[in-house]
Amino acid sequence: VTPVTDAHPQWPIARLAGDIDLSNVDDLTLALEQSVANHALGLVVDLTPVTYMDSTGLRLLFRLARRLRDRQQTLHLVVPEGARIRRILELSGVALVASMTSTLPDLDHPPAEAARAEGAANRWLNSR
Amino acid sequence: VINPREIGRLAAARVSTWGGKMAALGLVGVLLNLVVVHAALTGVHDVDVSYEGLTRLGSAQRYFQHADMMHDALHADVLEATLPPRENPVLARQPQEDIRRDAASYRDDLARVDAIALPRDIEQQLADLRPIQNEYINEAVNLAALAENNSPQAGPASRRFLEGFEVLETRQAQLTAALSLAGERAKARADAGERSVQIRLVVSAIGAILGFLFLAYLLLRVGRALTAMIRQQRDVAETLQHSLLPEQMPELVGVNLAARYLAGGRGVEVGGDWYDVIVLPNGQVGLAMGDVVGHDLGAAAVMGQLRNALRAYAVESDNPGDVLERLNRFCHQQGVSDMASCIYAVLDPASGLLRMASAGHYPPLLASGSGSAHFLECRPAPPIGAVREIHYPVTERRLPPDGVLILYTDGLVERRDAAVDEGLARLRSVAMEQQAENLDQLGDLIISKMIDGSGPQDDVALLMIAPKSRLGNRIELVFEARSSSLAQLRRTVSRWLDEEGATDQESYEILVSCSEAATNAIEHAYGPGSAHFSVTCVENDGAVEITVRDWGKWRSARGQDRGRGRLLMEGLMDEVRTTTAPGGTEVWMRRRLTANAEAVSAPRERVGA
Repeated sequence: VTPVTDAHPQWPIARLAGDIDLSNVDDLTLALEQSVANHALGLVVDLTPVTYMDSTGLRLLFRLARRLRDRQQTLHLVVPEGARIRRILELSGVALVASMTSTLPDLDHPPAEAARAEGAANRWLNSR
Repeated sequence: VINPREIGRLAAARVSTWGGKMAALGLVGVLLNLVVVHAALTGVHDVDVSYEGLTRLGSAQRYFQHADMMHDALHADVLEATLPPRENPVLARQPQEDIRRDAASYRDDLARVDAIALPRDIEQQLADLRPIQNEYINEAVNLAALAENNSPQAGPASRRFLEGFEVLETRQAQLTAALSLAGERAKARADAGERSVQIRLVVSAIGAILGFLFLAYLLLRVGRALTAMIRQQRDVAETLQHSLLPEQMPELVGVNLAARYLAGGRGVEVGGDWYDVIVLPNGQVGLAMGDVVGHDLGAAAVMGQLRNALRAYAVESDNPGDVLERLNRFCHQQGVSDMASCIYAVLDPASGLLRMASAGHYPPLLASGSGSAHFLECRPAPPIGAVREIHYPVTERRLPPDGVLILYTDGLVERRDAAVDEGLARLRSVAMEQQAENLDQLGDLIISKMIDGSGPQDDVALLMIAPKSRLGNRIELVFEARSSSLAQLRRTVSRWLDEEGATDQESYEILVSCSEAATNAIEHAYGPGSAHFSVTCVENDGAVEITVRDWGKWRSARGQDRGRGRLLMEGLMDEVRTTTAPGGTEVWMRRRLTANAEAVSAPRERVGA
């Protein structure tokens, strides 16, 4: 699995595809950490094409979030509604260190806002 | 590893010691036979000689007896001459005439006896007697002349003559007796010689028979020794070849495998055919089938090199085209001059995806349960070792769940008396009409239909692979404790969970839990070095139970990140139990599947209502 990075001036986007497990997590971590320039506001990791991920993938995300936070940058995750990996992300509490949307947000605005809006909409839907 | 040259040397040494012994024994046999035959022939000659002597003695005896008779007649003639002439004119004879005639006859007989070669003692006696006989004859002739002239001296002279030669009569009788005795002796000798010759002839006949039997035995032994030697060489070659082929098909979850290998040809011919089944790190299966040109130990050795090289490249890349490309490069770098046709396919047992590349090999045959069969044509590329830098294109196909993939070498379809197309067509029709229950049966069927009773003319390798229709309620897997095993683990367990009716989400969550336990086994339970862990999946009363077991020393998780796996397992499974013992760690997990849970809980609800 190699991250495909899309260029956005402030928000580089890393798209992960395939299986993430112990066999490739170290290479992936290194590649992702190097993909964020100092002037960027943070990193968007698109997990849509990921077919498998377990605690090693979570470890990667937590570690990435900690690195970015140390540099005053943030981590945003894109995970589609109904994706298989969604439950383990929720179980792991990754929401505490990263914002999450189901689709790629408009990056001209902070993605955390889009995440809050999506969360609010979900709560509203759930309460109905 | 056995050096072909060494085999040749051993064989030559064996032949030379064997040959030396055999040649010596054979020579002795032939010489003995010659001696016996020579003795028999000499005997025959001796008997001839003695019979010849006997014949001569007989003639001499006969003539001498006649001479004796003439002597007696002469005596009577002379006696008659001393008597007064008769009155009877019929009886009136001229005794002198009789004397001359009988004397001449007497002389002739003696001359005849003289002409015959006789034993020396007899000849001596004859010679001693001869002057007296001559004198006797001369005197008799003189008397005849006197009688003719009616000389008055004739009467008294005759009386003197008769008295004077009494001695001769006696000696002549003695000599006759001696001749007769010598004849009897010679006869006895000749008879004895004849008997001995008969014995010698019988002996030589027995000797000839024995000699013949011995030579036959010798040829038999030499033949046996040569056969044994050829068989031994062939055994060596076959052992070498078999040692290079997989001893046992690897146990693969999700696919059935069977292979057949038949050594063909005569003498020490051995082929460079090979096949291989390789479990790739990502859980896919590499299938190789190749044929090195040539039929000797050299071809078998090259086959061994290529097989090992292909194994190594197969683990490095799951692209069959890359693998063959590297194998070809290896061939050129190593200076391997032989060429080899080869097909290499990578099969994903879970999806049935088949990717293959062919280096001038016959196309594999795909037979499906519906009774159809067709060859999977690969894009053509030259054999390994033919062209220095070459790209081998990959052809993708999908193996249907009821399909059987059949790989083979030319020995299966090529016959000296038939076109290849015929062989290919026959293979296809055998695969189409087959009613085999399993791959082993199919293999036996194909071999029996494709190879006639006299055995294969060339080596035959056959490899069959088919997806397993069901994994069953219980699977037990063993993996190497390294991270590359995880994909294979997920692939197999995922397929099993599908069979058990798990939903997509359930399947994913159980896989994560299973992987977590396996990751623990890999990361925590071992230091560096090779080790294994096992995963057992059992369906039990609507729930799946998975046990992951390792045999290492448990280390507690390091760092806060590392505890997350355990958290996930507990969050995703209904029940998780970990047992740590000095021998290793066992993680047991259980989760009820919703499909089954509904089926089980439905009646209970009805009771509640």
